[in-house]
Amino acid sequence: MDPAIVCKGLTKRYGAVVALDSLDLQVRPKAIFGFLGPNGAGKTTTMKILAGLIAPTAGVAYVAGCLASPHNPASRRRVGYLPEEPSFYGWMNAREYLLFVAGLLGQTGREAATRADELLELVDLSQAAGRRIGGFSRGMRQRLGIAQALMGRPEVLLLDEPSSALDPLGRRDVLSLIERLAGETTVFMSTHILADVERVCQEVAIVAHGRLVAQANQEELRLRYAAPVFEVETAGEVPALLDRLRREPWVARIAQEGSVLRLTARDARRARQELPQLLAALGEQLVRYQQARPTLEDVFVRLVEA
Amino acid sequence: MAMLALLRKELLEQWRARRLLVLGGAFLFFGLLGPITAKLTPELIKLAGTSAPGIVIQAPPPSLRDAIAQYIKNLSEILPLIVLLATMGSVAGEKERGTLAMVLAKPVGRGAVLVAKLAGLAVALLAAQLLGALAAYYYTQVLFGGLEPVAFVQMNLAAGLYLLVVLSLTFLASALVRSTVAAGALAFGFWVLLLVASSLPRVGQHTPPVLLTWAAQLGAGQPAGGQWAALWVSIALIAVCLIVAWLHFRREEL
Repeated sequence: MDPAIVCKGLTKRYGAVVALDSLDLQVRPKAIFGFLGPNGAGKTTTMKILAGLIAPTAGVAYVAGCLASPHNPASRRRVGYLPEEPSFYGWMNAREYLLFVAGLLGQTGREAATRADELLELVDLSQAAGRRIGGFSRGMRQRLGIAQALMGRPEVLLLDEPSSALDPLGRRDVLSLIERLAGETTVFMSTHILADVERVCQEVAIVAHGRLVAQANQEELRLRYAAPVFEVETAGEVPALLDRLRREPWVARIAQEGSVLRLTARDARRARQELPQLLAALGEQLVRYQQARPTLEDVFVRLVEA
Repeated sequence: MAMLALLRKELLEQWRARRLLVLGGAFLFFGLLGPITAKLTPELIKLAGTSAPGIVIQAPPPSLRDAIAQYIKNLSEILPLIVLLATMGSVAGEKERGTLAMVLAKPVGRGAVLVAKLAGLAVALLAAQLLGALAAYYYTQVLFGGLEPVAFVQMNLAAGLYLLVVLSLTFLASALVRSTVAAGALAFGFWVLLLVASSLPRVGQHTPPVLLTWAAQLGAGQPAGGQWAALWVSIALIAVCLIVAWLHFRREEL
């Protein structure tokens, strides 16, 4: 099966600023794909190129086999796009907006009305279908944004930071919606919220400074890139242990959350040998010690900082 | 099909975003004001004269020509400014808010988006002008009488073309920049340039503002020389505005 998205040497410069630097990427069809990166990594620029809103300075991008370009409407017929902050005509109601989008896609009459009602149902906006969009909450706008992106039954759905501006309930709704799209269409979702990616994405690409740093499924990424992580839980503060650990050359990073220390090792063998000896000195203050399963955050931080 | 959807949206927007209401209200108000002002001004001047002893002001009786002159004055001074204010955000405002990016992510051509927008604005302007013209015609007939319907239509066609030029310049400004305020300032600059050009020797007689002089002559039943060059220049300027807007907009990154 041909890839749903292909980027070859995709480069975008704004004067002296390089937003994208020779990005190579392939996304298999029907995957829910997480496009991860810190702010300013080039995620939105990639999204806009794939959506046909801007042209690359160099390189090419194909979406569902079509060249993505502002001058190629055929590619935009196969793509549904949700920008980071979707904007609508506040004077329209939700159903009117979907029918307007249907018109842009060449759908008319009953076909358009049926599809609009289906999507309003899918995104849980049937009750608000006749309300002016100007009065919608952020979460409702985001869900309407997903509905309009799905109007043309796109082969590829591009979601730019779909949950980053939402409250926990809005985030939960949007992620559930994305999960429900699994197997129906290719979802290419950019975000910097790692928990969202862990929850819904099968495959992940990490970008930093406009370049692809890694691409694999989540488990592979952990195996390949995660440094060994140890968790130590203590009863109360242990400043002496913390000071000692910070001086150890085999310790790469220490994160403290309450009474739990999360320690990323630079040298796993030495960590396994020396950490228990250091912890033995804590005596009854030690509550728990274990080698933890690395998270996507551990992988992300290691790759992006590198 | 996409063009129809865009056009329908633009026309609906003129109504729902109250642009038609603002334009229609302004044209109606100044349409009524023209003949009334012409009728009452001499009376007001006379009244002012009686309050100062020893001064006798003799104002000529108001005529149909005064009513037409007042109507054209409003069409040339205040209403272009209202057209500018009502339409300066047509493209720039949508860029600013991000609604245009959502539309352009669909399989529609950028040219179609611009044509639909300009057409929507033009329809709103012509509807508003029609309303104002009907009001002006009615009141002029009531207060003065003797207004030739054909001449009045010809006068409004000439003045309407001038307003379309102002609209097109505003539309061009709106397509060139990314903020409504900047679009307004640029459009005002274009309008001032147009007025300056009209005062230049030789060149001036072929510029769109000359259409207003022509309109006044037609309305008053005076022998009009036929400012055909100004008419063709106006039509060409409208086309140029649309083409330049498209050339810029097709390459613009949103």
